[in-house]
Amino acid sequence: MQQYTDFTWKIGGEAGFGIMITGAIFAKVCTRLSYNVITNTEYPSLIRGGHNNYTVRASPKKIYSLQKTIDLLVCLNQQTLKLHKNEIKKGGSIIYDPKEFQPEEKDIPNGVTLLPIPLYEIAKKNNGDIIMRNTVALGASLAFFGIDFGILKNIIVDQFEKKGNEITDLNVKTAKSGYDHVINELKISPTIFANDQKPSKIILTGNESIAIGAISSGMKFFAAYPMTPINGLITYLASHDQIHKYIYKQPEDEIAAINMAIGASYAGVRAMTATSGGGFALMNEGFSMSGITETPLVVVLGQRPGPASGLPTWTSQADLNYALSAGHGEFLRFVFAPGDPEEAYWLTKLAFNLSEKYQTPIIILVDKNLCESLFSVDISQLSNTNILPEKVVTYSKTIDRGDIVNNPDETYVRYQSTKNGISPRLFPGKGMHFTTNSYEHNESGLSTEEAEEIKTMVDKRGRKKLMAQNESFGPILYGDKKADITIVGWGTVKMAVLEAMSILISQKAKLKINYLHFNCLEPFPIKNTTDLLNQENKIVDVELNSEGQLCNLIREKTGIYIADKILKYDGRQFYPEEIISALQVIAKE
Amino acid sequence: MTTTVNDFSTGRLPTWCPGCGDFGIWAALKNALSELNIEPKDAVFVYGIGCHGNMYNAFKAVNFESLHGRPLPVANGIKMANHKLSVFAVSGDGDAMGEGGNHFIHTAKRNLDITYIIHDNQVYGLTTGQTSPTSPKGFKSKTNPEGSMENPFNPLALAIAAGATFVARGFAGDIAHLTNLIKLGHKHKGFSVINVLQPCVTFNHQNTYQFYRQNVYKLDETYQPFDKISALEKAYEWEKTGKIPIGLFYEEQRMPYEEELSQIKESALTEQSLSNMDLDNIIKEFT
Repeated sequence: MQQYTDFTWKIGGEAGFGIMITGAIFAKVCTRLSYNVITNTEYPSLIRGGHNNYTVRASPKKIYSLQKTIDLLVCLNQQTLKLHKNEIKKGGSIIYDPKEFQPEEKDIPNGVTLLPIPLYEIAKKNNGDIIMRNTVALGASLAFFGIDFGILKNIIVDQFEKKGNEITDLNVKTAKSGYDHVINELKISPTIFANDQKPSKIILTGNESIAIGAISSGMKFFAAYPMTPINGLITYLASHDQIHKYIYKQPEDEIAAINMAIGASYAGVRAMTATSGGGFALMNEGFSMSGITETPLVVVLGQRPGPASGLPTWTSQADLNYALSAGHGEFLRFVFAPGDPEEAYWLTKLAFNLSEKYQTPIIILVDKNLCESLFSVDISQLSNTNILPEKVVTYSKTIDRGDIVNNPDETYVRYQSTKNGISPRLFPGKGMHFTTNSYEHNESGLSTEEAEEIKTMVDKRGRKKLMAQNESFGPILYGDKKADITIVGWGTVKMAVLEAMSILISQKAKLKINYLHFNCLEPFPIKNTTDLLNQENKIVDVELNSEGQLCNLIREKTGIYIADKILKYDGRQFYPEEIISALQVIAKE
Repeated sequence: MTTTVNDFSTGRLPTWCPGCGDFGIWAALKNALSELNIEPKDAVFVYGIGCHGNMYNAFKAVNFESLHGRPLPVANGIKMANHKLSVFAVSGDGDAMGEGGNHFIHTAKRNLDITYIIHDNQVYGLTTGQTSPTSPKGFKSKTNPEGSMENPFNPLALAIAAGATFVARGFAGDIAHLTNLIKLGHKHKGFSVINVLQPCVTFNHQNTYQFYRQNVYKLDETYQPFDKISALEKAYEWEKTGKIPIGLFYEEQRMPYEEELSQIKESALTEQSLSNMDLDNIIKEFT
């Protein structure tokens, strides 16, 4: 009997069918097996109707991204089959409700098994209404993959604890009916397996990784206006503020969000805001104010395709240029682009330290794929990791509030022109009056229009930029130094690229790839990039935008010109198979 | 330690035009703070951009000069981070009701304990004479050479309707009266709005000191400021009769926003430790 050791499951249906919660539960089941889990959701910007789908890939071995093909497709409607039939592996299966629809001949790929299950009928038999179909499908899916039902039962009990015994029992019974149907009626009985050890993994979204990074770094104030794809970050932080004793404030608009966060930071707490492209556009003046007033600030920028309203529920990497140049005038900012949830956690911690040390804004640049997908993370990775340079990890474990003045006297001035450009910072109410100013100012913070004083202040802020160069890190090389092709990429392409490399290795392919991963984009790691980019190799830039923004940035900073690019900009993430095909074409040239 | 008016001078003179109403407001602020015994190191002032925003160069306090229209959200953030601070926000009429309009109505709705002083001269002075949200209809300016076609806002009615729990109007030409309003506003627990009639001698030749002295009168104890509808009626008295009441129009006791936050019941956010949280506790729900 087949034991699934690396499987991909997908469920689809209309919005309102409970797809998202079903997918999340299935992902959690797999995590409790101590499997590595990667997921993806696709949904249109609607509340009802349209097409939602949820994909979960789980494996006992290390995986980096989804692959294109699925083992089991659960169709809560016919549209799901029509849209995803070509993704089903040979030997894969389809679960569907024969009362809902009959698959047309042309929609059944070769070598694929049909598994008709009367989902609605089973739901009704247990006194549930139509939305319980997904619960039946959940139980059925577990049986299909040979996963012990007890794991699902425990999760349902935890999930519905607050709703009372009746609801919990209903859900358990309904799921079990689906499970039993597969075993008893469809006579599918793979070897049932469970995980006997204590799970070593947690499952959470990129948004939640950032949230726990922020909380564990002592963030005390968060103001953010709802905008996809960072709503999950807001929801999580809004519901944990009393336990962890910070304030989340929903503002009237994004302009209020950033200005509130700056006010809170100025007053003496670690503060953060979050948004997507359009909201960040509104924040730009405030961003600039953070720079000139020298007030620390962490900004989470979750990318989705733009311009303007763009595609709210899809993914993109088209705002790199924007993050690097946002805010009028010249001032220091840092831009970090985590490649996966572990990096998101650590780089958030790093961001709080550096923004306070340099008294300047920092952008954590992520995207819908990372923000909203569930990923399994090894618990040990939150205490220590080697996916980032040691100096970064060590520093991120500390709390560095920078140069704070505790006993000011009459001579204190807020913008002292120090050698390294960092002026000791005083908090309001801590013993001395002082002035903070968004106008150009002299060392006392009073407005100035004197040429000398202006130059002094601009130079002072410039010295901070110079010193910040030392904080740059990466790019990180994955794979052997010797390779036929070096891929360069930033942020979340890491996942699909590493998966592509893993596939090629397992296939014992002739093509040798290595990957140069950029996650610190400002200050740009000029020397390391120049050293590591071996121009004897073919270099290929992989990114989710149409202009090749990293490519252009590398050329601007190092002079190195990368001719070959694999660009995708249809709102979807990269799949490793696509990267491999494109590389093979490039390799032949 | 008692503070005196002189404690608030930086030695620099403000750059306002001679005769500007801002001088009167500045004097009233210094008086009020010294009578309240608040020291410069403990008075947090957040300014927007406009002539009003030039005050900090002459005014010794914990000053934050923010962006046009944005002193209120900055003040909101400051107050939530350290609710023990005395927080004042200062705007002009353009700053408060133009660029910052959304923050004005939402801060009123939120009712944080902040005292908001609006320098209302019915024109954009710093940018040399454009129409403002409170300019009268027909007011000629650089942006409406033929005269403004819109009716102005009524700042008091706006504040009352949006939920402000202390709404007052002062006059820069009656410093003693304004001083008292500022003291009352600061003592009031909640969002206090003090709209100050501020003659702009350079760009507003309609609402002059003379005009105001002829038409302004002080509300006395015969007016009770505790009913919202009467307050709104009183707020519209200027439009209806040409007589301009000054004083406290409306006051309501409503718990300030920050007092409902359990996180800061025992201590201000700024007083709480930042030590690394117990990670095991944080990740439990993700297993």
